[in-house]
Amino acid sequence: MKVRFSLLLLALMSTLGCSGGGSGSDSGSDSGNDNSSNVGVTQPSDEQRATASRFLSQASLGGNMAMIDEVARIGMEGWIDAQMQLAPTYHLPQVDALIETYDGNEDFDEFMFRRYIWWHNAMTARDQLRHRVALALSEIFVISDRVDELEDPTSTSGFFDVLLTHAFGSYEDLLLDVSLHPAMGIYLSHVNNRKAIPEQGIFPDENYAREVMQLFSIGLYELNEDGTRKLDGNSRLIPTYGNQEITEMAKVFTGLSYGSDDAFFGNIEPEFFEPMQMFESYHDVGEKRLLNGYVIPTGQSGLQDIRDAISHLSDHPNTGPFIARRLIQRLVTSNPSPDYIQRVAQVFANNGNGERGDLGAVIKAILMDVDAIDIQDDPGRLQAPMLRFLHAMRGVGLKNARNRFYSEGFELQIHTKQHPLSAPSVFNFYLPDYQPNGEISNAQLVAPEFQISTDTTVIGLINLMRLLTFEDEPFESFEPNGEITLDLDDEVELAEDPVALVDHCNLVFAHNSFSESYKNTMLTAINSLDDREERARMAIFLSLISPEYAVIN
Amino acid sequence: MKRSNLSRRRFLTHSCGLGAAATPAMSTILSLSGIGSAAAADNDYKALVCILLAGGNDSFNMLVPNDSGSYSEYQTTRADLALPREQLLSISPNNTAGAQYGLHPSTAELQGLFNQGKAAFLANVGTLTAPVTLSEIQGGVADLPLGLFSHSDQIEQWQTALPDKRTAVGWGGRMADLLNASNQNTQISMNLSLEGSNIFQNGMTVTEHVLSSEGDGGVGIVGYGGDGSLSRAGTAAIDSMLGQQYQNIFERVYSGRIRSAIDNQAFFKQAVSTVQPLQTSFGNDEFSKSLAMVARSIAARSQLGHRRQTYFVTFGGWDHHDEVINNQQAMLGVVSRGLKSFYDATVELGVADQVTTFTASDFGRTLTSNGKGSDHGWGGNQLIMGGAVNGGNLYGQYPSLRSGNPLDTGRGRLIPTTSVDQYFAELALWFGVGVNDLDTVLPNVRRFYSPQQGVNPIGFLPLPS
Repeated sequence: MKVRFSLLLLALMSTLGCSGGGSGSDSGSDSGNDNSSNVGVTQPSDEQRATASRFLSQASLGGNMAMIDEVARIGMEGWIDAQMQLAPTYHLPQVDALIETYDGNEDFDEFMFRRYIWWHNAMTARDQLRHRVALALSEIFVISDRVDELEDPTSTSGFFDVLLTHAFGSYEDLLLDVSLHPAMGIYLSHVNNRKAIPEQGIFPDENYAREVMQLFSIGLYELNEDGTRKLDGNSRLIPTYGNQEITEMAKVFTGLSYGSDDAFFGNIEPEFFEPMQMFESYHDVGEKRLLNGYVIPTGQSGLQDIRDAISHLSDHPNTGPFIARRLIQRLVTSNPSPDYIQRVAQVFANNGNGERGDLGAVIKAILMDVDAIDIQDDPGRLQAPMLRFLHAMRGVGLKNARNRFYSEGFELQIHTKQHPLSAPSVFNFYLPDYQPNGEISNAQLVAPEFQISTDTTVIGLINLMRLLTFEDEPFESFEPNGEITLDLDDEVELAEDPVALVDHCNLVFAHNSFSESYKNTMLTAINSLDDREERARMAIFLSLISPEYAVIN
Repeated sequence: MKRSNLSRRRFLTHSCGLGAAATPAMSTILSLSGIGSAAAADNDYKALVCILLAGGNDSFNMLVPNDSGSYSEYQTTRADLALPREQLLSISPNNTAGAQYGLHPSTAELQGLFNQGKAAFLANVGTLTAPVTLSEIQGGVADLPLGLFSHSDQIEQWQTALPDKRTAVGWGGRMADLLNASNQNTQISMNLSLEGSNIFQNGMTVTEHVLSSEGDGGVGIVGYGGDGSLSRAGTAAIDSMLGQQYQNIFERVYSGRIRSAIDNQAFFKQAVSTVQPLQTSFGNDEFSKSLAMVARSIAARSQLGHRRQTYFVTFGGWDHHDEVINNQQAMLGVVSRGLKSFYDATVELGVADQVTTFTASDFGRTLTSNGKGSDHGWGGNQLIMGGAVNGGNLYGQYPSLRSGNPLDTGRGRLIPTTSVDQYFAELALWFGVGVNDLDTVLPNVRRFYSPQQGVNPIGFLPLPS
């Protein structure tokens, strides 16, 4: 398809701002929608804007000029506070409405509805910080639409809503709702998990018992508050649990099945609108000896057992540093210093009001930390492909007559092997301790995102960006979308002055971090083209494929 | 819209190999004496193909005891997970003194290969840090693999053969470090992966080259090197970008990856484009498509300049805590048909005796049921296939499946009777690793086998002459 570019618009800063990703949607435009109040206010300095742009690479699904100006104006902390006040943009109701609308329409694959709504909200929702944190949480509390049983679009969208709900709430509440969500029940198989019948050789499923400890809360080894591993007297790691504790924990997660008006244990028809329901006669009521001498007494109700076990895990000394490191890796840097982890873990332990596990306070501590704002001698983080793709589209902006941005995410997943809530396993797309062979492992650094940066996908990502910038195929254009194109008006306008065009891209995408050498590379390419639209597309393309953009530091 | 189903199947059917949780590599002085005499001849070629069944295949339903007494023990222990005896595909191994076994009903092709002497099984193999007994485990004095029964640890240890360490270096990588110099051309790594980066093929100096199962096995940058003002401008800019010096280590490594990906994929594409298309037909599933690409790549071995190759193919989704019966029926069928096509392709290429394929998986599963499926176990059964394999045999010791037998650590999680070190030592020696270099590839191997000339660890492959 061919983009019609308008020569009518003037390059006012305010309209520059308005061109940001998916603006003007009926579900609320980006947080820059109050641009009009900006008129007459002193423009932020280049340095303030660069700082804001870098911050948005940590705190949103991708910044644009409007958001950069907003952060530069009200400051990072003010922006975080304002974002945390915004109501969540929930996905499940929108998915449900799509199912209603297209019920019986053979042209649609219901599986895709959760993806349509995910991308639409990623482009248009104002609660960007909440969405960014929920995306990070989805890489810790992993479920995936690659499992046949989670093809029902209400499963994954409902689960994502749980992450949105608790993104700034209590970790303990989050872990409880994650544990009781039917999508997790299916993914880690504790739905319809019954107490033992030893004489028949039937024992509780141990899958969730293991992963809730290994991946969602405490990890395999005892940690110091700064995230380093404790050692015993023989300099060996100290396991947090053994198989005995897993067997005991498995008894806790017995008796759950799908919740509904006519629920029964063993129901194999999933119901995703309600949390799983406890069926006491299938729950193991015996005592459960968990970690560090903690015992759940015999005879409690099944849900009380689960609440106690979740609370027990939330209170474990490992949980703060464990969760802190994972969230820092997703939002800020691959190799947080022990001091950084400790500062965040201390906020996890106590938010200042004596409350433990306040994720809002944890997120703020992560983003406002001195190490997040000014990383010294830290190579930072290779941005995940899905974040680069999101930033690309949000940074330029998209146009659609109906302000609908439904996507299957197909191109992203094929080219990069990554898509939100579609990991290959509960171990996510990459492991937190992944060390690529060679220079990085020799430097004793970890770099999780390199695990999916293979010969195939580093090229795939360049081809994806090419599709986006030169072919205008970020999203599949189909009913009910109609045509979706990049909103290149501002960049085309700037293309009259190649230096201004490069500066613009450098700020929006790379927080002014492009080297002189790379800016010259971009200028040479742009100057070789006469057509202003081609210049704009080339400038955006070269920004998005640069290693200097790919790595945030 | 119409492509959604197809495209979705394409990316949903396949699961990734898991990567590393690792300590940094230490530099080791590698001896090139590892290139055994067998690797020196010009016409010499060998490939090892690793099939990782990621998630933990319930392999005591892949290979089932089939005498009346042993089947009855199996049936009692496995309860609702037991396959009906009349459905099993009988095999009579040459070396089990008459003991009968049955293969999963969906694996007729494997039954055929076994009966033709082109495939063998290895029973109850798993990760061990040292030989261990049940009483040592129960007494709490056993030295056990890190993270026993855990996916991430066990899938890693099957690739490293170092269950007492966390390392990102795999035994396939260590073999390649030793043998790479025997290849005429090292532009493309001799370690070729159909499933992205992995630990198995990651060495100190050699790492894997990733192939796509689609097209020519690699994708290039669209428009790169093309005509037209946009392509010329883009190509020049990309070359300039990749020629730049980067201070940041992540930027430097990332840039290097793009450069080598462009060069390697162009080279690979050229090599594969010169070989004749295969006559052997493969299925349309991802596993078969991956094996078809392995076969094409083997066909291009001379063009690639390789005398030694390893391949890594992953087939994921075996973590059957529930629905094990139905899922295995479909998935083992895919494995069986895919392996048969692949074996036929090696015959067509005249390299059947030079290509050995072997399976690996995170662990075996609990023999007892959780009411829906089975949970994470320990020892399990594996398949070895190829013209060189002493097929029609069952190696290792097939364990008693009776509940509470001396190998049962609980719920039928069986102590392995053969270690992965022995399994991999057999493969490595055949591949051309010298007896004296076996310690480099498998640092723990002497805990289970004393390397010496002319004595195999297990016996399913001949020693190189």
